[in-house]
Amino acid sequence: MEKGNVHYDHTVPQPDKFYMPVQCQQCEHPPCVDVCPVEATWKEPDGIVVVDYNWCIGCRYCQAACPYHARRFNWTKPQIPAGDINPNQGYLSNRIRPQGTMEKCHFCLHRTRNGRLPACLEACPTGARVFGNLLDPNSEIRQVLAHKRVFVLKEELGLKPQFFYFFDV
Amino acid sequence: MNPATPATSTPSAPDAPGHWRNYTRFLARVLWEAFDGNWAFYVWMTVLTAVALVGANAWAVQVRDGMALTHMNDHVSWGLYIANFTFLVGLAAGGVMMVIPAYLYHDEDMHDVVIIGELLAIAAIIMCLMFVVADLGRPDRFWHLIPGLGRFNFPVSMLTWDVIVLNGYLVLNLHICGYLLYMRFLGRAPNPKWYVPFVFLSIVWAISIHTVTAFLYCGLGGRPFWNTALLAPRFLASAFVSGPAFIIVALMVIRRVVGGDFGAGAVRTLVQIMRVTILINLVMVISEVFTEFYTGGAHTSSAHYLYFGLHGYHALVPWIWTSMIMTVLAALFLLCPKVYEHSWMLITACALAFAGIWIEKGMGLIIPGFIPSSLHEMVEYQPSLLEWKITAGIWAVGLAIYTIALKVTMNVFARENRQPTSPPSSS
Repeated sequence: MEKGNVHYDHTVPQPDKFYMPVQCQQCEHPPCVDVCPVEATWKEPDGIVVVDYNWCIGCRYCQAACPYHARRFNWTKPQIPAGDINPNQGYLSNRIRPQGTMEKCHFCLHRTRNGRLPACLEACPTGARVFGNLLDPNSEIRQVLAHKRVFVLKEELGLKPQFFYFFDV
Repeated sequence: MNPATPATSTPSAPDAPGHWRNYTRFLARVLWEAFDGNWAFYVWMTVLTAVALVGANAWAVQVRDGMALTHMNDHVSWGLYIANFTFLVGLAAGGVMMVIPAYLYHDEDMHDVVIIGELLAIAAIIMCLMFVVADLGRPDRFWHLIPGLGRFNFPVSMLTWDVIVLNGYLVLNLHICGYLLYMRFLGRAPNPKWYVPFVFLSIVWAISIHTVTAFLYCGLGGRPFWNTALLAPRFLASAFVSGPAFIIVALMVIRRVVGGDFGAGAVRTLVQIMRVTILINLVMVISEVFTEFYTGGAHTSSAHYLYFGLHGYHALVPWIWTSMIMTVLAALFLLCPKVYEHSWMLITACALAFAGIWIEKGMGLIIPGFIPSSLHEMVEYQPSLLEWKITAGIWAVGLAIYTIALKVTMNVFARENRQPTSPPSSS
C-alpha cells in the first residue's frame, strides 16, 4: 500500500504505474477549517475552502488534519520569475503567498467567479475533468454524478468531499 | 543577604496597593539575590546562557529564511518542536503529583517541597509556549491567538483550548508559588483562602492540560496512529512518571547543595507514585501495541513503521526500542526495595524513565502520525541541526528559569530559618 509518491519524475504513462490525481476535496465538513485556531481558513458560500494568507499564523495544524494531503506550506519565500507572475490575482486565490503561511487548491477563484474554468481543466489534454455547480440540476457535473460510476476518496472518514472520481465503464 | 527592610516594615498591611508595591519589591529583591551564587552556579548559568544564545540565533535565522531550514515538509508537518512541546506539557502536568499527596492526602512531609513541583510546572509551561512559537511559520502573528485581539476559533479548534489551559495553568502556578513565597518572606502564615482553592483548581487543571493536548491529536480522523481513545490516558500515565522523575532528581540536587534531609519524605512518596504510574504506562503501551498488531490492516502501518520499520524505512526503530528498554529498566530499578538506599540507583532510574518518556511522548508519538503520509507515501524525518539548536536553546532557557526559581525558593526558606521568632508557616 505505502508505495505511492506525489512526484511526477518521469514521462507518463508508465506500464507499472497507476495515476490518481488528488487535490483539495472541498469537503462539506472540512477538518482543516475546524482545527484552525485563528479562523484563517473557511468554507466560502459557494463551497470552496479558502485561506487568508494575511491572517494564517503557520501552525500547520490544518495540514495535520487533512487526510488528502491537500494543504501546502510556504517553507520559504516564494520565488517566481517576474515574467511568470499572473497579473490577474485574487486575495483568496492565486496572489503571491507570504513565507510561512498555508495554501491550497482554491479552484482558481479569480477565474471561476468570472465565468472561466479552473486552470487545471484548461490544461488537461483529455478533458478528464469536470467543474461546475452541484446545486444546478442541469450542470455537467450533475449529469456525471447521475449517470457515471462515481466514488469519493476515503469516504469512511465522513468528511463528504465535493470532489468525485468517475469512470466511463 | 541582608535582612529585608521593605518586607518587615509592613508586616500586616491589609491594603492592596501596599501589597502590590511590596510584592514587586519582594520579587525584585529575591530575584536579585537568586543571581548570587558559588562558582558552580555561575558555570552552570553561563553554559545555559551560551546554549540559549545559540538557540536564539538559530531561531532568528529560521524566522528570516523560512522553515525550509528545518527538515519538516508537507508530509511530516510537525517535528522536533511539537514533539518537545508534547513531552513538556506532560512534565508540567506531572508537577502536580507533588500537590495531590500534599493537599488531598494531607501529607505534611510534602508541604515544604510542594512548591518545587509547582515551579517545575511554570518552567515547563514557559518552554511549551516557546516551542509552539518556534514551530509557527509566522511568529509575528502570534497575537492572532490572543482572545479579544485576534480571532479565536473557540470552542471548535482544540488548539484554542490548549492556549487557554496552558496559559491558565501558568497563571495559576505563578499565583500559588508567588503568594506562598511572599508570605514566607514576610514571615506570616499564608491565608488558606488565597491559595487552597487555587491549589485544588490546579490539580484539575493539570489533568486538563494533558488531556486537551492529547485531544489535539486524537481528534484527527485522518491520522489513524493518533486516533485512539487511549491517547489521553496514556499521556497522563506517562506525565505522572516523567514529572516525579524530574522532581526527585531536583530534590536530590537541592539536598546536595543545602544539606540536611530536605525533601527526603517527598522522595519516598514520589517513588511510590512512580512505581504505580510507570507500570500503568507500560500496561497501556502493551494494550496499544496488541490492538495495533493483532488486528493488522492499513491503520497499523504507522505503528509498524515505528516499531519494526516499513518497506525499508526504519529511522525511528532504534529510538522507540531504546525508549522501551529504558522504561522497563527504570520500572525494575524502581520496584527494587533497595532503591531508597542507593541514591545512584534512584537517579539512574529517574534519568532512564525521563529519557524513555521523552522519546516515547516526543518523536515516538508525533512523527509516526505522519508516516506513511495521508497518501501512503513513505517520507522519513530526521531533525536538522538548526532544529536541534533551537530545541537545546529552549531547554537551556527552561532550565535557567527553573534554577533561578529554585534559588529564590531556597533563599526564602533559609531566610525564614534564620528568623526563629516568626510564626511557623503551614505553607
